[in-house]
Parts: sequence; C-alpha cells; structure tokens
Amino acid sequence: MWTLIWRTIKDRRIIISVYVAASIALLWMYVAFFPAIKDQSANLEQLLQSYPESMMKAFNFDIKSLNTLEGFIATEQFSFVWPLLVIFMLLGYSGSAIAGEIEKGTIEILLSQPLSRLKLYFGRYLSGLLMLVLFTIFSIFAIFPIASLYDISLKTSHFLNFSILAFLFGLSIFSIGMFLSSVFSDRGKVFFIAGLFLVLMYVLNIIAAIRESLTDLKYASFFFYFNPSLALIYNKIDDYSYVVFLSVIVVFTLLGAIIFSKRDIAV
Amino acid sequence: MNILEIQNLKKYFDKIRAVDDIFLNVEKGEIFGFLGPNGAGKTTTIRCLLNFLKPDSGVIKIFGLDSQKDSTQIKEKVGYLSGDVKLYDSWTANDHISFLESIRKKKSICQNLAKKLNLNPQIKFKALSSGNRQKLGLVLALGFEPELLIMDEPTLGLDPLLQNRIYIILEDLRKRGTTIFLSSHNLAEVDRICDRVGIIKDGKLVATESIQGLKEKRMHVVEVQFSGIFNKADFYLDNLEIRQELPDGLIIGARGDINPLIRRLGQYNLKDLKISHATLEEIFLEYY
Repeated sequence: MWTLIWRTIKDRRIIISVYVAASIALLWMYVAFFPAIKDQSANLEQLLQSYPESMMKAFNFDIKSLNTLEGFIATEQFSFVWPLLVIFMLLGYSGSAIAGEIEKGTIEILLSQPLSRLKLYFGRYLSGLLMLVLFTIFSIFAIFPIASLYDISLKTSHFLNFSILAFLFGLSIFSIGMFLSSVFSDRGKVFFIAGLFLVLMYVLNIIAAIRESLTDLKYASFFFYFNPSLALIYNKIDDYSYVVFLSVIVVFTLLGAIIFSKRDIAV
Repeated sequence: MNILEIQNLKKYFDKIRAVDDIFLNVEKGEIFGFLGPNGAGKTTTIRCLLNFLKPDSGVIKIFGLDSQKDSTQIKEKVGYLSGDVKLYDSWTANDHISFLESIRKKKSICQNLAKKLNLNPQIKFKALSSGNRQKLGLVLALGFEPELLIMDEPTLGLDPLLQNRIYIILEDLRKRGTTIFLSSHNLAEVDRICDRVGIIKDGKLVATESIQGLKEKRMHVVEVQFSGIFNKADFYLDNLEIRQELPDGLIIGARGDINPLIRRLGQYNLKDLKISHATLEEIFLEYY
C-alpha cells in the first residue's frame, strides 16, 4: 500500500505544487493589500454597514474583518478561493483515483496484482489525504513568513484552529469524491455529480441567508459548517461543524470502500 | 492435478447471459485455449477468474483456493496479459517493473525478458508502439514467473513476427510446467500452441476437447467431381452437409461414419475425389 501512496504522490507532485504555489501567491497578494485596506478600514466599514445584513451573512463577511489580517484573509482567501482550490484539487484527484483508472483501463494492472481491493482503495484514499495535509499546511501556514515580511503579527492559535476546520472540510469533499469514484466508471460523472452537489449546497447556504423563512436550509449546506471568519477572527469552531464533517468523512469513506470491494470492474 | 476449476459459473449483465453455466477444469502444465468469437463470453469468464467481475453463481477454484475470498493469495502466483494492454502513459517500462516489484515484494526477471524481446525499458508507455506495449504487458505478466498465466487474446493486432515470438515463449513455459489459460479467436494460434480447447458460444461452453480429439471427431471434407450428370438429392443424408456446388461436383462436409457417403459416390463415375480431415476452423464453425 505504501508503494501505491508513494507512487501516487510522486506522479502528482507537480499538480500539488501548482495548487500550493497558486494558493501562496494569492495569500501573498492579499497580505500585501492588507496595510492599505487597514488604513481605509473606517471608510470601508461605513460602506459595509450600508449593505444588507443578509448579503453579508451569505458571503461570510464579518464587519470586523477589515481590522485584522486574520479577518481580512478569512473573507478574501479562505471563504471562497481556498475552498475552490481544495475542491478542484481533491475532486480532480478522487475522480481519477478509481473511476479514471477504470475509464483508462489501467486498473487492470493493479487488480491483477496480489493487492486486495481494500488496500487499493485505502492506498488511493491515503494518497489524497496526504495531498490535503500538504496543501493545508503550505496554503495556510505560509501566511506566517509572508506576514512577517510586512511586519504584521498573527495569532497562531487562530490559524491552528482554522487549519483543523479546513482539513475536515477538505477531507469531507474528498471522501464524497472517493465514494462517487467507487460507484462510477468514468471521471466525467464523478465531476458532474460532485460539482452539482457542491453548487447546490453553496446556493442553499446563500438562499438560507437571504430569506428568513428558508433559514433552516443552511443546515443542508457544507458551507454553513465551514466558517473561516468564526475560526480566524474569534478562534472558534462550532461543535456541530466537527460532527457534520466527521460523520460525512466516516460514512462516505466506508461506503466507498464497501462499494469498491464488491462491485464489478469491467474495463 | 487441476490448477483451475470452474463449476456452474454464471454471469449476467441485466438480461444478457454473458456466461451461462460453465464447467471447466485446467490441469497443471496444460495450455488451455478458450475459443469463441467476439461477444461469446471469453473475456467475461477471464474477468471472473481474476475477480474483476463477481459471478452471479458458481464456484471458481484456482490452486484449490476460492477465486473471490482468496483472490490476493491466488494472484501471487498468477500472471495476466490482456489483448489490449493499458498501462500508465507517463511511466517507462522500468517504472512499471519497479512498481510491481514493490507491490509483490520480490525481484522479477522482467529486465531479462525485456532484453530478450528487444524492448527499451526507458521509453514512456505513451511513446511505445502497440507491439511494444504488448511486449511490455507480456514482460510484466511473465516477469514474476507465474504458475498460472491467464491471457486474453494475447496476440491481437500483433505482426506475425511478434506473434511467433510469443508462441515460442509460451511453448518454453509449457516445458517448464507453467499452466496457461488463453482466450483466442485465432484458430491457427490455438491449433499451434494449445493442448486442449473449450469452445464457448453465447456464454455456454459447447465443447471441451483436446486439439487432437477435436480433429479426430471424424469430420471430413469431401470434394468430388463427377464424370457425368449427378443428382444432388442423393447426398441429402443426415450426417452430410453440401457446403458448395461446383460446376461438375460438390464439396460435402461429413460428420461421423463416412461409409454411407462412399456408397452413394460408388453409384457414380468420378473424375476426381479428395477426402481430407476438417481443419480446426471447420470444426469450430460446426459449433456456430
């Protein structure tokens, strides 16, 4: 299994590096903007107060976000760009990890080896998990050396707390991706269904914030449980975020493993 | 000793009976040809053997072990070659070899085989020709010196030179006691290398015979030319089939006892008579 993990990471090293580099570049850009934003924070806060509250909620915008780098980066980078990057990277990988191998026919060489399907599944799963760990560490903690270049101090515990939330969010998406990859035999279906699912959840979260009568819809959305502002500004993660993400991870990982070990594989 | 035993194997895809109640044994050291046209159920059977597909019913035992429960253990001693080898585009042959060596946790003879087959192990898979891809597939299938080699149309689309080289390798493996299960629709190939064949039609195994036994099924092809007028109806007998009408004669396929035909022919003056044993191809076509 370790051979499989090592080889997967080796094959994907360039793509992981590209995602990490893109994330760090964006992070750097926002950190570089921050001193200018902070100088204008009073005016911007006034402007923001004129916005409808529901809109601020829908897009995860906290009024305090302009005073600290934690808040600013939570809104600008970690509420939208970071989830998008992690979704693209992990769905791209999970789609090709099993369904893509079946589509290309390369799964035959793996299945004809003395390697159980469960080992194959978890080899692929752990490779993705390792990619997520690397991406989370570099894309979040790179802010410390970057911020020091601009003499901005940061609260380490807030970022540690956020990195746990971000990791659980990413792993939930990845587990769903691996589940879909175990069910289908071509990548296109995995991307389409996972993409549809995530867009639907994103829309549900926005609708729930905009319309009072539909506020309960937010509980059906991943994006409600992933609140970078709460983690980075207030150093807090709601307990139900842990419960939801951990449940999704366990259920979809196990379902994916069971389906893959029992299904027919015809290349 | 049976290396492979298939009993009552059934595999359906919705309402399509891909494999329907197959019974089959393959003995140690035997080259068994699994013969049938496209869509007959050869590949489905092979995929069931390798546990790629889960049978709807039946038992498959390989080395006396259950093909599903003990699949990992079985595959330690099995090599597999598909007719359309699909490997990782960005990997070289060396990458594939070292990857499989790590998975199997043992050294292989792949490098020697690659040298024997004139395969450059440093070229990426995507840059290899179809013949060289098949060579790499063969190297990986044979490299761990399997006790059972399962091949699904291994020479499909290969040039005669490479086909011949593969036959030589298989004959060499037979001498060393390797059991080979080979699917094919190439009758000449089966005739040349197999000890026994199973003929599959619409998912059902319609015959299992040794090559010699199949040829000795007393099937004859009789080509006769008459000196004068002849009555075609004289040859409408149960075990005869008029395959072709010639300007002055007939080509007749005869099953079983040939004497009734000879007696009928004795009633005529003949210009020429040729009686030959049916080829494997003709025997095969009898089942279709």
